Amino acid sequence: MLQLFDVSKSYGPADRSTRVLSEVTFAIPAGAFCAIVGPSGSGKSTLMNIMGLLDRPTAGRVVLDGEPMDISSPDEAARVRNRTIGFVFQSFHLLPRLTAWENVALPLLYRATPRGERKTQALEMLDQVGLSDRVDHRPPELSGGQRQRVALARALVGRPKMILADEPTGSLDSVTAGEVMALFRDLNQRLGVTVVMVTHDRELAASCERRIEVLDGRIVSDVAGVA
Amino acid sequence: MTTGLDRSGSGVPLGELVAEALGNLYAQRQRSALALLGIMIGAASIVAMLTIGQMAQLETLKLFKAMGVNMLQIHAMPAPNAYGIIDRRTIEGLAASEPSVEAAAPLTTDRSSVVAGKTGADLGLVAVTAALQPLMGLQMEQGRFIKAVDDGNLVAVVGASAAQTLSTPGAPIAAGSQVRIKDYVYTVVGVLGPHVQNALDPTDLDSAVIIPMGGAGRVMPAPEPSTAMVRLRAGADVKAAGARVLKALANPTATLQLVSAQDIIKTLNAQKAIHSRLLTAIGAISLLVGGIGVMNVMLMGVMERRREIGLRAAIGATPRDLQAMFLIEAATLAFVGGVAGLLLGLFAAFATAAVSRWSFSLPLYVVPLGPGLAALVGLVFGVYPALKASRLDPIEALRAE
Repeated sequence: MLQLFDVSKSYGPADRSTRVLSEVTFAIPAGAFCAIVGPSGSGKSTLMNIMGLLDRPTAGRVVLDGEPMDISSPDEAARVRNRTIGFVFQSFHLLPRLTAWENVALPLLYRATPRGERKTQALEMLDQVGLSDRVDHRPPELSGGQRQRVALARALVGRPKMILADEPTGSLDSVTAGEVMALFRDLNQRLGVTVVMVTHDRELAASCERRIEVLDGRIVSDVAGVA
Repeated sequence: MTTGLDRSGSGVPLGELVAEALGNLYAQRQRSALALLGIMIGAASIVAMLTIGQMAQLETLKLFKAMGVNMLQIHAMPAPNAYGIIDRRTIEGLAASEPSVEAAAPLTTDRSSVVAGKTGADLGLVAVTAALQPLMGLQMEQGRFIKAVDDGNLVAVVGASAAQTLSTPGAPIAAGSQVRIKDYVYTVVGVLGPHVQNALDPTDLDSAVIIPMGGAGRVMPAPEPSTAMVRLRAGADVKAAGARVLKALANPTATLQLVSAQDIIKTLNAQKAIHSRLLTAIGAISLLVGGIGVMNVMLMGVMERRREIGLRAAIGATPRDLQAMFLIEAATLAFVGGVAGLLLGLFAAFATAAVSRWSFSLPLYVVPLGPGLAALVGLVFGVYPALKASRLDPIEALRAE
């Protein structure tokens, strides 16, 4: 369960700061499949960065499974990110000179998992996303949908509690986007991992169980049930 | 909670970091190769300097090996209105009168035209006594050296290259040949083996004709000794003994000049030290420039790989992990340059040895030193790029194009 209590975020000097988030409070239970929607500039990316411990709120608390996430130390934040959160990005962010399995195994490197073990787990995760036959391909040799599957496998390989996906289908055509969404949902159900998706695509958001809508730094609606 | 200073990263093993670094460097191999050049030249000049320095020192010692390092040469510089001579009997009596002297031999040098059959040459002429051969360790190619009984006789010993000069087809210079010096015909009794002129030789014996000192006045204007070669006993105090020898030989006709083998070795070593310092300076400057090159390449790498850095940070690389990654990359890059430099430096030293006809000898410590120094330079110059990488904001870095 991820909880945000009165989370605010401002940029700039204290006297003329710009407020991007205002006292956002919500909770996402474990296993949820949830979308955060809003137009660009609404503050949804900042919200996701705070949920992903990449950014610190100016005020308020982030609590993960009852534990307050204090990220005053970059090292501690990195460790928590590594163990609890998987990231999926719009532009995949795969390292082009590594093979698919090496990309997937990367988060395990920062846990000092031995190479053999890393490979085993990466191959297993590539199997989960249906890419067992592409493990030794490098990203430039893969299609957009395949790349996003590799990225998804990378996000999942460390058995995180939550996946944060930033416009995960934004670089894909609609057919491939549908396949990737189906995979997200499938993994959410099969592995029980929480999925939080940030998007401005209302159609995509509509297929999620819950939609939190952000506008001008505030939550304007929080709707459950598939639309 | 942890401070930013302790090793609180996730402990990626060094081997993995090096493997990663090699992969990254290979991915940008052209640029890596350029950065290597400076480091390579720096390491090469340091390796070459140390290797050549050691070989030169061994060669210097070798020069004195035949003759020993306890040699003195006393040379008479003419005083005003005098010829500048040293008394022969005093020289020959030195071994008896001065306890630290093992042996002493007088000699006089001049030049003269020497004719053998139809050929002739202008050669060094050296008047000696029998004592010189054991003193200088002269080897005979054939025949014998001047003996005590030869004093006053018309006999000569010819240096190896002088013999070659005077030989004509069908009439080689050998024991029994005759050579004419001025108006006198000398019978050759021996030919010297090849002799490398060493620092204390009063003249190049290899290209000289050697005659007995008694009766040398026939062909030399000043047949009295102008030089005394002295060998001290092992362990003698060179300075004190030298002073006593000078005192014994002093006479009003000459200002005596003393050169000891140790003085020459000292001078040679001082020269070598200057060369070494020069080469070290060149090596250090090359390493410095190479280091700046490494820093440049690493900084470019950090800028170009911002997205990668952001991604690694997002998925759990601590700032320390990122620092380690770039530091190891810089050190690996420089180390590879150092290994290349080691090979290049050894090749240069080998070529120098071949050209100078020295025996090649490798001081083993340069093998780890060259690449080690280079890696150190890489580490030092990698610090700034590594810090830069670790201080990138992951959010900004992920957004970079």
